[in-house]
Amino acid sequence: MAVLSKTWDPPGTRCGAVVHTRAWRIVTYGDTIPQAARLYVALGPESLVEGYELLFPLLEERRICHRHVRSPELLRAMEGLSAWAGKSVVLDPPEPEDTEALARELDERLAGRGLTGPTLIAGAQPLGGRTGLVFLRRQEPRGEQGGAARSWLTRLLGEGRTPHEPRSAGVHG
Amino acid sequence: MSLAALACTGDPLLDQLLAECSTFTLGPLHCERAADAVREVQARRPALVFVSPASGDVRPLLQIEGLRVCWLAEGAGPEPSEGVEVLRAERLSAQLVDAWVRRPRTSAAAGGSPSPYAAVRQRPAEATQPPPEVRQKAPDASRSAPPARQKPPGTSQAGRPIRQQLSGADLPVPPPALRVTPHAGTALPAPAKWETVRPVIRVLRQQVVALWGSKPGAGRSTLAVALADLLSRSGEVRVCTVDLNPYNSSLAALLGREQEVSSWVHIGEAFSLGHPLPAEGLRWVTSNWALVSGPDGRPDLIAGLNPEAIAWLVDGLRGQFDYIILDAEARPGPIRETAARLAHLVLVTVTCDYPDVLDTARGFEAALEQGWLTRDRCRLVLSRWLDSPYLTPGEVADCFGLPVSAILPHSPQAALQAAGQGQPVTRSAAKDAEPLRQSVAQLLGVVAPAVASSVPAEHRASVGSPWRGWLTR
Repeated sequence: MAVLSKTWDPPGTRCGAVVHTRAWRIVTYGDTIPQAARLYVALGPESLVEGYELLFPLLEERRICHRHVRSPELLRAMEGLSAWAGKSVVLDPPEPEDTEALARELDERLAGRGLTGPTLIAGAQPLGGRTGLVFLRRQEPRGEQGGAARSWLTRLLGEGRTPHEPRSAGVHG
Repeated sequence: MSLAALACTGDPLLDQLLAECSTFTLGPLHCERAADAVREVQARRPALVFVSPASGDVRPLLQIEGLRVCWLAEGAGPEPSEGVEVLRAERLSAQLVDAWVRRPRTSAAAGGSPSPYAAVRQRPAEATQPPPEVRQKAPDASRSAPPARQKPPGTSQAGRPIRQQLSGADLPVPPPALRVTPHAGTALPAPAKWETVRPVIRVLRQQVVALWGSKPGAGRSTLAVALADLLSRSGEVRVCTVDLNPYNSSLAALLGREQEVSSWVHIGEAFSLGHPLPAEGLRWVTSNWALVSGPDGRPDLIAGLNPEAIAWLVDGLRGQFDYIILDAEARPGPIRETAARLAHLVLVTVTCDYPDVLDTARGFEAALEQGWLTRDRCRLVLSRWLDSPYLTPGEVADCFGLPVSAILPHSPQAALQAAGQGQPVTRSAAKDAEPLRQSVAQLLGVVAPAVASSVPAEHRASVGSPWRGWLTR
């Protein structure tokens, strides 16, 4: 898949500081990244380029700190990791009150283009909207995997039950 | 015991890299921002937390007393807050992180507990002169391999495997630009010293696979030998099977090598003297498959089979082999725990015996709670399996919370015949060996998907395989 260079490295005049990590290209405005709220845009690998073309001008204009996966190949590699799958663009809006409004704006911007992506991502609730690609971060952490197995085992082993009462003296000698 | 650490890099690929490191035990944590991890760090009290530029503001972590915070960065980038140790390289690798964790630290630098590996290696001769010993490691490895008398298929004129030539692994690998920023006022070795400590990496994969279970006789050793056999016949892959059963060391017997001196005679001595991994410790089954045989009940050798020695052994083997298969004992204890900690992939082996399922599941849950096993590293293998309506694979999978990766059918005739002939069960000609071979091949797709997909099963097992003549020469 060909990725336009201007998509991946926008011109630096209005752009904030850019940091590359192994998976992310992080764009920050100001000294610190806001930690109040977080939005995800879950673009699939096939929709990544077009989605980036639509999103980045808006994010630059609003000066919203964000990070995005550096390539479609990396996004495919992340699909195997349940906690990270689908998180192609992550936004850190400065004001928590505006988060939902911003999410709706992003949804409108992406709508009508036939963009696709995962319907669920870990630790986030879908906004709904027209595309279903925008998610808001859940505040409470997700429960650890394997709870069902543990409860199954507990039930099987009889732990947590009241102690067994002997039915009669005769049975137990 | 190994150092407890948490990965809070906010970067899934860096988290994966840290999971491949062997000098610390990485607790399970999904963390996108450093601030999210504070509660978890306070609860678990790890000695070390890894962060990266993707973690955001790390200052909340610095407020936790006695915690070392390591900032992993690749290439140019921002500097972290004061008090954060920095490991920056052009391209980070698990070996680089291991070397950084293992490095000798002065008491002033040790904000948390010092690395046990540093303590093990701080012997007078080695602490001052590590480079010559490390340089000897690669010649040792080449000396320990049997001489190639016949050129294997898939090699070029020079006789080297094609993969190595293409990857340029034989060329001297320049060490990455490594810069270590210590705490204020601490003294760490100069970067030039680190360039010599890092060995030349010749092997690309370095996967450690551990077989884990709670009952003896579940077929772990048979499976270890069978897996290693298929792997070694899959191309230019170097495999090592390590017997970590102190009493019932059956790998050597399964391969007809029980008359030979135990590998731990040489390995235990080298570890106690602080020498590099000795070539005499490896028993070569084929030209690309080596065996480290167990102590087999000798008390003096069993005393040397401890977690530190196992970690040291696996660390040494990682530089020479693509796949290291650890056959740990069934008994709960430090050996089984260490094998599980060191492994990238843990094959939880359970039979269709109802008490075995319960006991293994109990041990598995306990290991998860203690943090030295994580579900994402584990795969469930049903061994010696007999279909029964009373205990189905689905129920066992529910019990463990893991999907079933392979079902190895109960094939006593094949297993006994192969053991009697001293060869892997995957080479047995017994009637019931074929389903077992197919199941192990299926498991190979889980253990080494790239290898399994590169060589079709029929080429691996067929009589007319181009590798056969070379391997059985």
